[in-house]
Amino acid sequence: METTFVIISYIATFGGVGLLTLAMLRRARALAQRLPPEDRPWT
Amino acid sequence: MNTPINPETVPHPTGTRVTRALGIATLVGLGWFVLFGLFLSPDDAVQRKGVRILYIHVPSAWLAYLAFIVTAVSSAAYLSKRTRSLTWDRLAGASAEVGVLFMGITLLTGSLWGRISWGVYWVWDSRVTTTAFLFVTYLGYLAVRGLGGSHEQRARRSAVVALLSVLEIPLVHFSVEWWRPLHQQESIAKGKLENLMLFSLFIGVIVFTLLYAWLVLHRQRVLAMQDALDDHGLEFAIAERRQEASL
Repeated sequence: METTFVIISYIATFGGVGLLTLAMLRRARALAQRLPPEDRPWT
Repeated sequence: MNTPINPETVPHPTGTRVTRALGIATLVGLGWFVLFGLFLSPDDAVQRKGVRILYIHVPSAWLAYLAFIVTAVSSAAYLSKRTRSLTWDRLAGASAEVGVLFMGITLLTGSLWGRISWGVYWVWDSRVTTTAFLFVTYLGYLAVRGLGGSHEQRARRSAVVALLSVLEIPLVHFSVEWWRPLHQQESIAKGKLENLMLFSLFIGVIVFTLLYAWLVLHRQRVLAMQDALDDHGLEFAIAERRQEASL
């Protein structure tokens, strides 16, 4: 049981962070297509 | 639907050389973290394998505190007339979102650790309850940010909520001292962890901090683009109508 719980912890953590990251980068791409480059001063 | 300015995919819409370097460092660090956390560090004499969950649980909790403190400081910077800028507001929002993620991880991993160590997933002791309350409070903060109005209205009201919400952090942190709950007290400062265990925890803190910085930088830029799109919304709508009329 301990090993299972440890693995679930790591998968849930990295899975959660990974999903949030993917959603964020997809949103960024969609927004960037609609904006002129001057609205992205960091690029 | 707004007309795309540039229908081609922008390869790195929120990335810069700094964020790419930070991202690579974070990925390498995560590899090291998994290696030490799961394989190289030994089992604890009392907690056995359960201690490996703490390498995630403790850094997540610290990073959530840091994220909420950054939210409060950024909110104060927005409310100050000398430093008022929507950049502070977006930084506050981005940091709170990442903080909620880390707080959620803290609660989940704590629950799994509790099942191993205490035999139950949840107890209503002071540390667990105040942590859950902090989590819900910042969900509320994010909900407040999502209410309508101008960017300035959003920034002002959410800044006030952030400055009130951050007052909960000392309550959560010192709850183990003030009420002596089932949750264990400070382990690291009291030297209860040694050698590879302490090193694994240290790697966790470093890597999660890098991850936090990377996520906040990107998220803050996404929010900036979202705000810019809102500002340009009317201009885009007019351009769209003109384009339709010319067809």
